[in-house]
Amino acid sequence: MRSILHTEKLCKTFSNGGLQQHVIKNLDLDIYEGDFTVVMGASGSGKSTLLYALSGMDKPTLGKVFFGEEDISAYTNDQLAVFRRKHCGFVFQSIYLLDSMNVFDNVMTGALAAQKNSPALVQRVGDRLKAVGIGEKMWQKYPNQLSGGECQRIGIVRAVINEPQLLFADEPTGSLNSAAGCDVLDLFTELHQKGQSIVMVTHDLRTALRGSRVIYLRDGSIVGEHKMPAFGTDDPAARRDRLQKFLDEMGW
Amino acid sequence: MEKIIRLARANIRRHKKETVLLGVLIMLCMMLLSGALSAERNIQAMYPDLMARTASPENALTLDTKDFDRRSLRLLEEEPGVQSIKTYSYLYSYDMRILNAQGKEELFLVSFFTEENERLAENYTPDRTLAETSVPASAHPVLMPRHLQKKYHLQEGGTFSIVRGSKKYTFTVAGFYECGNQEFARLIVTDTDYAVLKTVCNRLTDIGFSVTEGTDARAVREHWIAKCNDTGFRADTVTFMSLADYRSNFNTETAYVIKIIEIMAVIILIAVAVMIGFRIISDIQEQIVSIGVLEALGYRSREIALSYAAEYFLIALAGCVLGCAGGIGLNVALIRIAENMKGYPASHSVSAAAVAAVFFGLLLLISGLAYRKARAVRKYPPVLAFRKGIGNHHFGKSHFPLEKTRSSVHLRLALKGFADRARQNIGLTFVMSITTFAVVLSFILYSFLGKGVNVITSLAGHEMNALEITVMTGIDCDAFKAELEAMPEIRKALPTCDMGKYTLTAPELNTEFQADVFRDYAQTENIHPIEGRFPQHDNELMISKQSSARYQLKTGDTVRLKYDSIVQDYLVTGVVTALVNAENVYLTEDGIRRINPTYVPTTFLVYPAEGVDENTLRAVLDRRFGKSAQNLGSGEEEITGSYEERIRARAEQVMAAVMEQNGAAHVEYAIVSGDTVIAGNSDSIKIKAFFNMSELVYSAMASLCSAVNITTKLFMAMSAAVVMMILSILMASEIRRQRRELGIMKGLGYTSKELMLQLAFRIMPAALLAVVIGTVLSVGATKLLVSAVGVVPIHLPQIIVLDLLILAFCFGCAWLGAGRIKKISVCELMTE
Repeated sequence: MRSILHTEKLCKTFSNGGLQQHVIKNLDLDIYEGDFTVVMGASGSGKSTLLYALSGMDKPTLGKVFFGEEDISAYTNDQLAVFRRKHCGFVFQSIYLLDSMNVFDNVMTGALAAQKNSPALVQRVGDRLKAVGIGEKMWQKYPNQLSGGECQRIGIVRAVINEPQLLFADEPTGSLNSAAGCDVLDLFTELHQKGQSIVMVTHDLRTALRGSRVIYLRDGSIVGEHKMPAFGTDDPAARRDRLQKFLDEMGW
Repeated sequence: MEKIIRLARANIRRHKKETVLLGVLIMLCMMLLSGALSAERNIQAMYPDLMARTASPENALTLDTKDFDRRSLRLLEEEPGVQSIKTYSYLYSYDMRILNAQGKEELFLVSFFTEENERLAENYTPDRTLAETSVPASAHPVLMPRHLQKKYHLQEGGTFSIVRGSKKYTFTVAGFYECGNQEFARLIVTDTDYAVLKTVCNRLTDIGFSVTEGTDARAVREHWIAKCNDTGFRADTVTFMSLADYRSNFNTETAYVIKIIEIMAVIILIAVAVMIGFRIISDIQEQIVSIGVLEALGYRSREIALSYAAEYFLIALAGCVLGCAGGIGLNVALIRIAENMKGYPASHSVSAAAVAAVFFGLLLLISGLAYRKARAVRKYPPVLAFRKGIGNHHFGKSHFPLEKTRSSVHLRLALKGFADRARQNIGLTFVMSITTFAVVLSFILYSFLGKGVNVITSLAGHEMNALEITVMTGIDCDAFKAELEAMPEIRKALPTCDMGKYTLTAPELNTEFQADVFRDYAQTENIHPIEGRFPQHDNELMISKQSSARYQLKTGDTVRLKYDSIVQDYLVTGVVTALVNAENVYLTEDGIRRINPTYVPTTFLVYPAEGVDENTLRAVLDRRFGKSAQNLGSGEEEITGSYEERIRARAEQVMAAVMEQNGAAHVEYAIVSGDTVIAGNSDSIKIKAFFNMSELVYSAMASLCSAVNITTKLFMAMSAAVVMMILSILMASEIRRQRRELGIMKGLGYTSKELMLQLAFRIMPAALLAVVIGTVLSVGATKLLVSAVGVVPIHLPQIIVLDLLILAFCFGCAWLGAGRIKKISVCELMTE
């Protein structure tokens, strides 16, 4: 598989009252095209920090992040914003829909950040919303009139509407109930099956099972990696056991 | 109470910059209002105090000394309510010029008194530090009113020169004194100099008098003139001035500045009120969950509302305390300006009542307003607050749906943001309308009054672009006009009559009008009908806007006029602007001849060709027509040449004096010198006098124009500063309120610049509407302000450019204010 994103000696340090906290330490990582990479680790291991550094949401303290041949760690904030809208999609734990906009406009806001409006785009937004079970009747509703699961599905549509090369997800089911979480994970699986490259941070075993590659972080360093066949192509129980075993070895 | 103050202080600490900006606005408001109100009282007392010190007459009837008959005083004494009559004579000139500090000639309306006459006029207390003998009589010592000292930068022992024609009179300042008369310079000269000046100045006599309370001095004057006319005393040249006129004119400039400052303070106060509204609503929306938590902990909504009110009370308190010091400083500065302008002292005391009233008024107003706005927290009981309030639930129409985006998504998002904040936009539009109103009004006044002579030319109702030449009686008018117009330095020459020469009575209106006469009004340049048209036939006339209002006359009405024994009716064909000629009627030459068949033009308005200044024109006219009778008659010209040439020159001077001072139309002379008879006549003297009306009016209005110039610029600058602060506070509130949404947008890939653009664009519809409203209001207000005199030329293209500049300025301020977006880190937002 072709690497579309890789890091060299990636470091991220936070200062807190003169105290230096090294959250990511000299990390070398490749993200491959079409892969579903799951980042796991204990709380404070640097999972989310790694996700933000990879996605151009944040700049590393040291080291480099290459998107293809481009070193995005040298980008300015505005260049990073342009990078994000062209190449990345995001799904957040807190969903982060825009409260002041209705469902359709929330998705359109993401779409129009990267492309010009057209009837085809409007049609695509409608189709994608319908595809995730958000019917036309709900399009004029506002986020606080919807359930968490519905909001997260809208969040996923917004993240993929520009057909990004990379989809980043930070605990996408963290704020959802079991049924709604399952629906959301099915969407991720469906996207992956269609060839979408995904990087997802989670601490949930059930969520991690959807990935094809699990990276385990401890104290800002990768301490283990576990590869799996695509979800649905192997025995679910065996898949679960293998992953559980890997995580046990990692001290999870 | 303690917990309320603690909450308030916590809020202040959270938004330091906005708090400082708001505090600065309140401080400015306190400073301007308390300073202006305090100074106004002291400045208003300046003139009455001066009058009390100098014991100057409250009213004065001025007439030519040759027309004054002491027996007419008895008629005045008989008038009920008249007291303290005193008379004094002096010399007066309206065509002298002073050489100012830059060595340039400046019109100098001057009167000359002897010390004896000054003692008759008022309490004369000269202030000399030089010994009386230290300035010899040969140095022409003068005592000068104190107010001229600063105006002309003079010191005791210093010299200054007055010019009349080609003659220069140099005087030495021997000291200063307090003078109640402010209308013209009153110099006290030696008896010898007085005798010399007598030959070139008008000799006038004032009858000063006071009236008891309740007596109308003007009615006294009317009654006295009527009695004088009945008993054969000449009173037709009497002019009248009362203390009330002086008082109202005394500090026009400073009064104007104070009014502007007060208006500015009110504008700032309105801006503060609207800003407080914005901030409190933003704070409540931003802190709604915290409000819910506080309520859940047992705080009452009243206490939370009080904490907001306390926050603004503390800001207002700080602003008012600092503003107090500024107000005291402004009070002193304004009084010093007034003292400098007038040259007389005023009390520097601070009006504690004014300062206290503003101080407590502002505190009460701001705290009350803040509490009223903060009561909105009552709408959010804990559970509702935890859900971020019902205000965040949208069940209404979605404005500007994004699927209909045609051009820029940023513009669309800006419009969407604008439409979602109707109440805030109303407030913003209101504040910006007021500030635009202030800026545009200042600009109109600046371009109108601030540039000085413009006001005169556009409103005067009198031709101001021309040099007035009064010709000798008997000159062939058409031939002289043709001769003038043939000169390359002259663009055109219009024959007219002497100003004030023809007084026409309107018996039915119980008033008098002065006739202004032109052959063809289309040739005039500063007489503008604002209604109707110019008179064209002999039975037509125009009236001033003031006369139209005062006598309820309009186009199409008939006015009956009387001159000597002839009575004629005239049709009003138009109404004109008239700043200086309010009592004029405008007739054609045929029109005046209906009522005065012997009328011939005696004055020519000479319009210089482009690039020709007045001095060049005067020199050219002197070369062509010789010196004017006025110049010749004053004996100022140095006589040189051969014996015969010197005799002829002297004879011309004598003829000119006889013609100018005694009204002779033609003079001949024959002088025998030995065997030779040198003879001649006055045919060569064609020009009686030159006069420059615009210079006179400009001189009178110069200080007002200067005050307008400074204050309008100040006003525009302050309005701009207020707009900047308002938009800065607004943007800070907006960004704070929308921090989360802006972070999400950044996460979606919108750059900081794009978001800044969206936020800046978001205020533009309100700004556009405000600019339109403000402009319309300011144009309306200008028209209302000057409706008494006519119309102000409003140059629409200039106003449009100004409006565009205002919009660009608003956008720029909002853009810069929105720069705080850069500080929002999408990462921090997501890890909150």
